[in-house]
Amino acid sequence: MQCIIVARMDDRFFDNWSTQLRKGMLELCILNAIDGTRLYGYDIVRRLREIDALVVGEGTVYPILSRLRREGFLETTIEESAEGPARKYYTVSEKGRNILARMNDCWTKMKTGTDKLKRKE
Amino acid sequence: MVELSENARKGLDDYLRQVRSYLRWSKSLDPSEVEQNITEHIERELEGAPEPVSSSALDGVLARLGSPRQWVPPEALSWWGKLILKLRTDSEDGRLAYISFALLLVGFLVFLFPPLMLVFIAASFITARAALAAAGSEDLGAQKWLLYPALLVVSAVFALTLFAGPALLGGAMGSEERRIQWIRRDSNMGVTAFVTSAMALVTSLWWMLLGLLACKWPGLIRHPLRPFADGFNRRHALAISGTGLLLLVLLAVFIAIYMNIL
Repeated sequence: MQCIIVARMDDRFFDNWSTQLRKGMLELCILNAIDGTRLYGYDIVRRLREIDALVVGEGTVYPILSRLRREGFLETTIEESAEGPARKYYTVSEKGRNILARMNDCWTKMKTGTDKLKRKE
Repeated sequence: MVELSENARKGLDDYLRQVRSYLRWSKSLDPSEVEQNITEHIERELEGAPEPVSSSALDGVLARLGSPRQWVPPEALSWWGKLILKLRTDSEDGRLAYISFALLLVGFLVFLFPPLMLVFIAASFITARAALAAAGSEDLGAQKWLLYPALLVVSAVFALTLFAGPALLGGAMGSEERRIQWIRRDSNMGVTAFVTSAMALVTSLWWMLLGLLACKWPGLIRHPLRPFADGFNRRHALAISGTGLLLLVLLAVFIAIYMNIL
């Protein structure tokens, strides 16, 4: 009984931790996915889907895209599509490229530091 | 748009209705944009699927999209939207905490109508106790801030009545003029000293009795004063009895000195 309770507490801890981590990582991954190209919402979701454990609910990607656009990190253009309704294409703005460079740099440092700590074990 | 079966159409309508209900509380999101994102995503996912698309195929897409609530992230919600959604979606005991606090506030606001105030405070207390019972042994966390005010108000009144009520009763009885005259006919005790002695006598006897009862049944104190008296045990009950006995001895000494017996 005690083992089950401890396991559930561990699960809850891990879930909270991974949710927090994912929140930050999703923004970085979205910007990296769009950088240097132009993609529309569904294509971005499909690319992110390939990374295991990154996207739990695909619906979370769209609100992030809207927010990044409002912050000025993404720009959008609407184009007619032969396959259906008009599509909204996203590109990374100049401001977005600057923040992305800083985010990538920060992530690299964190990753390197974490790997060093792991090796010490 | 791909052709959906009747059940699939109902499922999609229900999903969109739920998303719209969350979007009502957003201050920054454009509902038509969100809806367009959803329908476009579904259409792309179901491209090539046999039509009319079955509800099971659509359910798979909706499950991958995730809960309707996540289309409205917390930062896009207004403060009242956050509050209302929290009330709507929190666990039962979480909702009880908000209801208890709201009832207490209303109780204080209608202080000009005491009977109504008492009803609201009593309802707030009962709701808070229900929340405590629902939480069981789990930590209440931040809910304490919403539950404890009602519990504290009622527990303080209860504790005051339980411990000091009989003393006030004794004082009232002792100050009745005819009774004083009848009892004081053979003594020279002043009215203030007589009333104080009556209060101390009733209090000491009551505390001794209460302590003995609580020693036998600690729940008599523990349950009504939950969670503040959760640690109450027989030792505390004996301390109440002992204090009552000490008060009785002090009273006897005081009377003896006053009446020049000692």
